[in-house]
Amino acid sequence: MKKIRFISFLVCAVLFAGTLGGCSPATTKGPELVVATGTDASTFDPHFTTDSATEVLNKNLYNNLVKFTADMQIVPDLATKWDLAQDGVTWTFELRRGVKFHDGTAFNAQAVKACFERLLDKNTGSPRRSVLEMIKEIQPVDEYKVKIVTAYPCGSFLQQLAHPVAAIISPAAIKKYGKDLARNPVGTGPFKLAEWVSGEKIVMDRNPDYFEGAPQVQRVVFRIVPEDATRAMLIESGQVDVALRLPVTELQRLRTNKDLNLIETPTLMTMYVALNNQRGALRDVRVRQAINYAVDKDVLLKDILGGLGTVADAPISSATWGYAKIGAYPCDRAKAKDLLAGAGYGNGVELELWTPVGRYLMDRQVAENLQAQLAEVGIKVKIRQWEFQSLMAEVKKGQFDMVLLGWSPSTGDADQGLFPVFHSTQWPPGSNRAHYKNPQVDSLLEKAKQEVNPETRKSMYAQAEKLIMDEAAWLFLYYPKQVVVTRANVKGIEVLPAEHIIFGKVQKG
Amino acid sequence: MRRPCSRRFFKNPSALVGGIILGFLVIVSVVGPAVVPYSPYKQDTSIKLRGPYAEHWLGTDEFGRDVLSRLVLGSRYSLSAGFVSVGMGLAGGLLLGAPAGYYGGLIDQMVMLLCDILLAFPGVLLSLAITMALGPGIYTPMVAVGISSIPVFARLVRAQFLSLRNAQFVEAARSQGASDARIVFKHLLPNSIGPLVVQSTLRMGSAILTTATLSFLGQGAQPPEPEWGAMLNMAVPYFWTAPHLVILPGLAITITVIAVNLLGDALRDFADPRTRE
Repeated sequence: MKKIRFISFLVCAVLFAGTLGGCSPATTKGPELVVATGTDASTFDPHFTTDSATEVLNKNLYNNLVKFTADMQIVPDLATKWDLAQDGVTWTFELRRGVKFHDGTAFNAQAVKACFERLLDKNTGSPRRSVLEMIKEIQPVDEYKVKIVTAYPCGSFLQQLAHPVAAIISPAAIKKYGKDLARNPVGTGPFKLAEWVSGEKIVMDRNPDYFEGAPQVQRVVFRIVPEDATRAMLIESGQVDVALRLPVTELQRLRTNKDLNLIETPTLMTMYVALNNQRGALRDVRVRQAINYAVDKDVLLKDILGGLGTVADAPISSATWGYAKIGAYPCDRAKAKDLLAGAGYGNGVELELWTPVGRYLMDRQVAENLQAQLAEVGIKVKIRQWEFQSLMAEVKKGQFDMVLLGWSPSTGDADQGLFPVFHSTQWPPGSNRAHYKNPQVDSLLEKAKQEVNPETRKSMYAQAEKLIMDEAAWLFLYYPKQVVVTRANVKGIEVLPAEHIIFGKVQKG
Repeated sequence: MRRPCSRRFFKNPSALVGGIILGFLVIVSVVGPAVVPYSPYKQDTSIKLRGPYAEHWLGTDEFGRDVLSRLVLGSRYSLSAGFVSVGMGLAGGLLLGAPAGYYGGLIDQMVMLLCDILLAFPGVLLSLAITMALGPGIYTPMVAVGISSIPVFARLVRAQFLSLRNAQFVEAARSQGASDARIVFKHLLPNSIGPLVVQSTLRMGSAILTTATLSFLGQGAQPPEPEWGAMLNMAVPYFWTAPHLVILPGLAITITVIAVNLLGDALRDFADPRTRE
């Protein structure tokens, strides 16, 4: 009996402690910023970061040589000036003076060399090594000047350097921690990592010596709250200052709340359905065009996505360098039926559509709406829902009709936006999931990659984009927007199209 | 004078209520889809997420589809899930349990070992593992639940046969030279039917619930099929904005399971000589 009483006491105590933990003290007081995010960091080592949720965190800890602005221009970051020699492959960067890493190590040309060499060393095993693989040589000229030679003239080199994987890491930390950089990030950014409790929170303290001026907030606390509705509740009740990645259903409600601000910005992402160009009915360009004509993208955007996006009128988004407005397929179901009839599918055709669940904004709903829209022209779609990781593993095998995906070129450049998804050498397991092949497009993409004259490059990409649209390699859908919700008193968050969110200049009124 | 069996049975209130609800559901699932005013698949996103109103009695879902029409068609999946999975479990159980109970020995040991292994897994977990292996689809959860009910039925059949195989009437049949098959089908099976019917009915409730669970987890019916569990799953993001999408399929599942269980309980009481008046 005594034992039972003791156990029940214990249970009560644990439950009580649990409730206390739930109502943690009012976190918005004091000069700290609390951010509710849906996903934990995977690693703080930029060389091993592949997900945009972690990139957001890294961008507040590290700097690159150059960075993007809100309109995707390249501006100085740790490099103040740069110059490309006549040969088209030798770049010289002047580095910012007097910058120190969080561990006190001085930032200089040697640091750049050590960091990039780690990334390029195949033994490091970085999954994003390809971003800077064109680098042949890194030579420090003096303390604050570094020369980088690329293997071929690379038109998007500066954009590659602004990619999160090209963040500059403290050379002392690389030596000291090696693989353990994942939990011990040392950069030059506005914040330094103070605490990481996996699955619970990430705390960053401000860097008082930050070269652009110390942040006004003492610290940023990222609370990991996987449940969408809970994140919405936290921002509504003022328990957090910022909420990331809220679903459309919640945003529509929050929009009317006067205590909240919704920061809506375009992204680099194109949402599309990869039509397997080498399989069954989809081999026929008329069928692929019919699919594009059959879908009313405006309905999709307005009714399913709550207006959070714009219709895709090119294979890459308008925020991406090299975008050319080609024009979207209008919704014309009569024409779609004619095209299908012409291709010999007047009596309809059956196709399978794979969709991830919970990876993209309203992904399952989009798939289900596409199913209904395509049924209008006699295309019978069978949906298969997947968890994202298993979907990607299966997509790599290439045995599918159609798959709903998003492509976001994180360098903000058409090379990354087009080459991996449309060049014929990139078929699965590569990213050309549509198995698209057009020798003309191949050659344009190859030439543009090595062209350093921006105007010539742009016109090459415009030609390629036109061909890709005309051949309906994908079902082109829309460019989703990203939305960051803040309390009305929070100002100065930088939300960039590359899905970088920077808190260095945040003010809390 | 003894009243007809059915009359006596339905004097039991739980049998009456369960029977009426289940009967209603069967009728709905058979004729309902033909008489509902809207197609359960037709999307009209301009009227999405509306609560009940004159034109759509039970409101519309996230694509503006009519919830009533979808619930009605969904009853078909849930009821057939109950029958199919219990039928599979029963068939499998007979196939394994009958020889085990009748012959005993090595066969018995092997079958019981297999059953013990299967029963060691919690039902939902086992079903989930089977659906993962089969891939999602509308019949997958039915098959999975069916397979995971086999050991339950196998043990019951074995126990029945074990207790009956040395009964006097079986001895008598055997002494007259009846074959094993004749003894099993003519004597053992008819005498075990009562407990089997009771077990089947009771099992049906949990089978419907488990199939709905599997669909809720995305392993069952795929869009746009209006399986109740799948409808619930779809409704989760709208818990606050359109609660009817959560409440209605939930209610449908609850009522169906309660009806089947009421009937099962009544059958058990009826079949049990100790509780029969």
